[in-house]
Amino acid sequence: MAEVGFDSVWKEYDSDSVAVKDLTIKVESGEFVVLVGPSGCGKTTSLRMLAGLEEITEGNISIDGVVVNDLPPKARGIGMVFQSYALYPHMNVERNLSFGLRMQKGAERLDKEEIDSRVSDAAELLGLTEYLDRLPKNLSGGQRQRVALGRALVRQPEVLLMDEPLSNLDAKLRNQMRIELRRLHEELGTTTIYVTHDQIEAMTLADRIVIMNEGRMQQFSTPLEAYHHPSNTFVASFLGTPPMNLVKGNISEGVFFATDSDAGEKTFTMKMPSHYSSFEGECTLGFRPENTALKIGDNNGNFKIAGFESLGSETIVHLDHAGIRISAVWHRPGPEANRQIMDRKSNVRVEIDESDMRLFDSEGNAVKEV
Amino acid sequence: MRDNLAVRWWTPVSLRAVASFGWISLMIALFMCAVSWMRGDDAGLTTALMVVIANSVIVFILPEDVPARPVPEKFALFLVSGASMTVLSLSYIIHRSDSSVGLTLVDYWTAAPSMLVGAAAVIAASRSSRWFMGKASTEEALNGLARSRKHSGAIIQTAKQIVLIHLGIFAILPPLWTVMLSLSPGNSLSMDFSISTATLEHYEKMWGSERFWGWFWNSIIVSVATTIFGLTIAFPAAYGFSRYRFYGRKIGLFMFLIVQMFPGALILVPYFIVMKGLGLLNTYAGLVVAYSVTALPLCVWLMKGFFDTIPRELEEAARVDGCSQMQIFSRIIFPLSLPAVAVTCLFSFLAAWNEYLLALTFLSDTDRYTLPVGLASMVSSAQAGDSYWGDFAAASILISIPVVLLFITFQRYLVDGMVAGAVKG
Amino acid sequence: MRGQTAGITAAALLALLLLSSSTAQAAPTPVTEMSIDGDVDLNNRVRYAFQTVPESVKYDIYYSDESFNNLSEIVPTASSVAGFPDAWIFVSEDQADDPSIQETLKFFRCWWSTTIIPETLATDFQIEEGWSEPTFSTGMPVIPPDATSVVCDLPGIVRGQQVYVATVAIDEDGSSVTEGLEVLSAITTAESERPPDPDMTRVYIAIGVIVGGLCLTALVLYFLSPSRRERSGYLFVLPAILLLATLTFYPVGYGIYLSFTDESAENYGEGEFIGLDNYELLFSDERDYDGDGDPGFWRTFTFTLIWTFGCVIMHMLLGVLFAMLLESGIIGKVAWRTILLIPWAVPGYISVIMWRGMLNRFGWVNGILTSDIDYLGLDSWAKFSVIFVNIWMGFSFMTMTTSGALAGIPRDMYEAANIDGVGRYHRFRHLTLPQLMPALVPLSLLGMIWTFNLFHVIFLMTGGGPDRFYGEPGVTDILVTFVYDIAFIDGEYGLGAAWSVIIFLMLIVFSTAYLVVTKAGEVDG
Repeated sequence: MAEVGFDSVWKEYDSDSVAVKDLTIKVESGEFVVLVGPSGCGKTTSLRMLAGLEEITEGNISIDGVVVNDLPPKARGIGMVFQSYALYPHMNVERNLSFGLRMQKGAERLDKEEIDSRVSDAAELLGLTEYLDRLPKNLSGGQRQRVALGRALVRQPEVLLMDEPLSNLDAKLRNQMRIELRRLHEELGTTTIYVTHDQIEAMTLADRIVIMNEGRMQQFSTPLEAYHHPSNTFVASFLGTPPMNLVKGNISEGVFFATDSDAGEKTFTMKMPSHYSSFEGECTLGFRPENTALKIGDNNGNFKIAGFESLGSETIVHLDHAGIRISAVWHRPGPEANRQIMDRKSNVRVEIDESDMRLFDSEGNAVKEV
Repeated sequence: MRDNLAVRWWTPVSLRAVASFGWISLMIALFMCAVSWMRGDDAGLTTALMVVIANSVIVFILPEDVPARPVPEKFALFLVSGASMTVLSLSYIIHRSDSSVGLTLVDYWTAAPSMLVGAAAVIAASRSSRWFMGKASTEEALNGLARSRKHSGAIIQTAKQIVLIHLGIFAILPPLWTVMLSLSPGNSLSMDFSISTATLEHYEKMWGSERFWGWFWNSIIVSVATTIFGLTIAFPAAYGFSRYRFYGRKIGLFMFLIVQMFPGALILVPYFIVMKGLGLLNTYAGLVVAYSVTALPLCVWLMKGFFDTIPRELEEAARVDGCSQMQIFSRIIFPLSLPAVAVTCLFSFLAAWNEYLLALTFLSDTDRYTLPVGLASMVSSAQAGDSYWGDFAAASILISIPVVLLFITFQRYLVDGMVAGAVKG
Repeated sequence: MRGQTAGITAAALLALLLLSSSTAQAAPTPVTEMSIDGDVDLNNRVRYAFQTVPESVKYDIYYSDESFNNLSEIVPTASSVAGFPDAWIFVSEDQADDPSIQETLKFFRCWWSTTIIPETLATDFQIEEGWSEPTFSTGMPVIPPDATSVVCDLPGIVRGQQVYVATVAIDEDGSSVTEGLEVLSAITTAESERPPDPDMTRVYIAIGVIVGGLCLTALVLYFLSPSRRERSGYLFVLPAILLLATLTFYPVGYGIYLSFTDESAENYGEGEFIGLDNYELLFSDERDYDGDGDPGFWRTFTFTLIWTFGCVIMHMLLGVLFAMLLESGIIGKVAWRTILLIPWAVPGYISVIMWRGMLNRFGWVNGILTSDIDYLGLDSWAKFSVIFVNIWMGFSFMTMTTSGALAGIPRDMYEAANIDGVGRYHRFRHLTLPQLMPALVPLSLLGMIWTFNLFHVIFLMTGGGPDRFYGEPGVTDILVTFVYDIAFIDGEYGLGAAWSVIIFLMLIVFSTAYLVVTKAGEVDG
């Protein structure tokens, strides 16, 4: 097992396109870290730099304390699962798994028994034993994915890299594989770095997640920390479905009022909780939809229902008041509430759990809580 | 455990570079052997062979992909081989300068790479002695690895470009020779080209030659007529094969496939006799019909492949909109298939334009010659005593330029078509 | 070399003319006029006459495409070997006729007389009074010592090409009798009269039957067709099928029929059915004119295989190599691609002739390498040269197709291999090559079919030579070029057709392999 460190790593393709900007993270040995972010945020590039498939423009990447910037991929002790699996289409599963091992030369050379035992171990671990003779094209998506994983594992890597490994699977299979990946990690304990754009994967798999946007790291923390205490508005809006409600406004004397509204400053006001009592001025108020309670038919309420999505277990209600749009998640609304939602009643009052209010300053960064 | 990782994976980039360029100099040294042998120069051949041996040592001493294990013996071997490459190629140059013909461009070109690579090997080896002895420190190794990273791209690119330059010269040498020949005065083969004596006389002569233009027009007429006639027949056939599922369709398609494999020679004799019987020898019509039939299978397969990609729904939609079969054909299918038609036309045209064997067999009247037969006759026949090499070269250049431009412009389609027409659509 | 060159006697007259055909009636045409109505009778010969020299036992006759002033200057060409005469005439009292040569196959025609050389040696020169035919020994004529004039037809001279001829009289000691060498030049341009057009009703009837039959079949199928919609397909396809049937399948069938007849330029249209005689003749000693025990079939066959496999293997090798270079991330890929395209783009016949000029003994290649090799005149060099030139002409096409196939191989497979630490050789051997194979195998088979059938490279480079001997293939002849010679130089259509059929049978092997590999036979549904 090994630690992985990114130390102020930059990747520039040319002066106009900078893929990764000043990335610094330290992954502990045995940790499962997920790089997550929208497409083009530099997460795959970071992974490929670690693998040695891309050159590093500036900074250092180290594995187990050794700077590996200039080492060839094969010398880095890594295994990698590609998004497209990159299986060798003309080799059967057994040969796909063993090819890399058989190609080792010199001091790295392995004898046949060793190769066979590693292959059969991996096949057993991944439930591939009965498919060893098949060609990749005769396997299902999930099986291919497992072969790709097996191919990375037989090398007994110190660091396992996965580049959106589940993105080509259907939803059901994805859930299944997610659980399996987590199980494997707990069993093997290999340091794992996992790239995805899917926040559910990020949340469920990771010990810690790295959220990236436009080449920059936004937050590096446990998933729950990122969810509940997003470091900035990007993270806040990236994590969670539906995302955190963000309302631009101003705080004066401990009261927040929205400035985005079409109908004057008093359309949306909110008394700030004590942990933000010291903040004054321009800011963005954030609160999670699931912590937003609705009172329909309240005479003090001035939001109206703009639309809704019924998912069965919950109903997402979209509200609008003079240009301020927020959403709320209502778990199991009763028949009466359901009817009211469907009637698109106006006069909805919004109540927000105080402890869930998050404040971001004018640059979008989280305001320190006191 | 990871401390010696860098040391293990490091090979000095200069040595790698020498090995890369060593491959090129090895190939050239082999050529040096061949040239010496062709000249009957035994002393030169011996020297060249020794250069090849020394060069091989340098190339093979460093394994390509495995991290090289430094060994002291290799150091000596590397050094000695490098030195001997330089010395041997130098002595080859000296040896050649003593010969009756003196030094030529070929001598410089064959000897210089080994000389340079040999010298580079000596320098690189002496600077990497610590590596060879296995004494390099981690820090050195890390610096070395960084240097490899930084420079290896440029080195490999340079090596590839050098190979490509040789390849390019190999590819354009004959055309280049023809250009020079066409600009040289006189009509003989043993030209001595120089800029100062360059002349356009051959071009002027061919440009003003009635016979040349006669052949040219024959070729144009035959090629254009072939293209039009062939297309008229092939277009509906391809459409029919693509759109209708009638009894005998597969047999028909298969027939179009296998005739492409009939040897020209098999058809030649009976063709000649049949054409003669029909009175079509020495006529445009005979050639046009023959060429069209030859090109027919390819055209049909090409266009059928294209029609297969036009969704049937498009025609069905048109039918729902009230189009007749003729309207569908002219308003929907034809405009859509224009690119395929263009490529097919290009194929038929170029095939007819470049065809030699049938033209040679069918045409005996020099006035009816097409360009291939006409141009070939300029240097194989001796109407007035000698071959017209200069004139031939000028005419060739005039003919080739438009054809080469066509090829370059449409290379993708031509390659794909050649393969697709023969490989299943 | 043969010391001092000796003189030729005779005030020789050269007439131009070809052919041993008795149908030739036309008067010789002047050298300057180049007009051949050469439907048939392309047995090109130069009629040549000289006066004998006393005490000679043999006359060596040399001829060459290039002019020469003494024998050492003779460039061995398509039909000659350095230092050896191209033909010779013995002088002997013993008139022993050579049993190995059939009367009809005496291609070296010759007459002798005790009178003087006639004024004209026109095509209608016949055995008149005072002229006799010689006997033959080892294929060459034998004349009696009392002959004073000799007229002979020198065979194997290419139509329309200037030829230079010299005769050397040899005495008993083996040295030449006279001083100096008189070289004459001639050209075979004369035309033979076109034989009367044969009755081609058969051809018309056959074509008519085919067209009618097919139309009728189409009509029947059209009305029997169960689907009203699909049956219009017949109308679209019919013209192409008719053209293919009349101009490809019918000639092929006719060719197969011809191979069982003795049709030739001389009895054109009147060929009679002779069963398998042509096929026997191909392998029989009767056609072994140079007496080396091989009528040429196996020699040609072997070289055809060398030619085909040599070219295709090199094409594939270079194509894959250069394509990998092109696709390996080089700077200026488009430019290099364009340059490498040139050998394919230049019209084939021009390329061949360019190379012929460069490889000429006095050409550029020797000039640049400062070597002195007759690339097209020496057996092994000629073989090497034609293959080399075809490699030059074909490698760019293979490079282009292979680079297309290479671009289709997924990149990430190589990245996975890179992480696995697969070396460059193994990457090629285990990843690239298996991925290329589906494209390379049909391409190479196709290449074999094309190369096997490739006519113009060899025809224009060497004409099958060197050592092209009448009726026998030259060193670089492949099957298809030799068929051309048999049919259109020798005028033996039936025999040529028999060769063609044999070639066809061989090609079936390649074609079947190709169809099986590409599954092209299972045309789509």
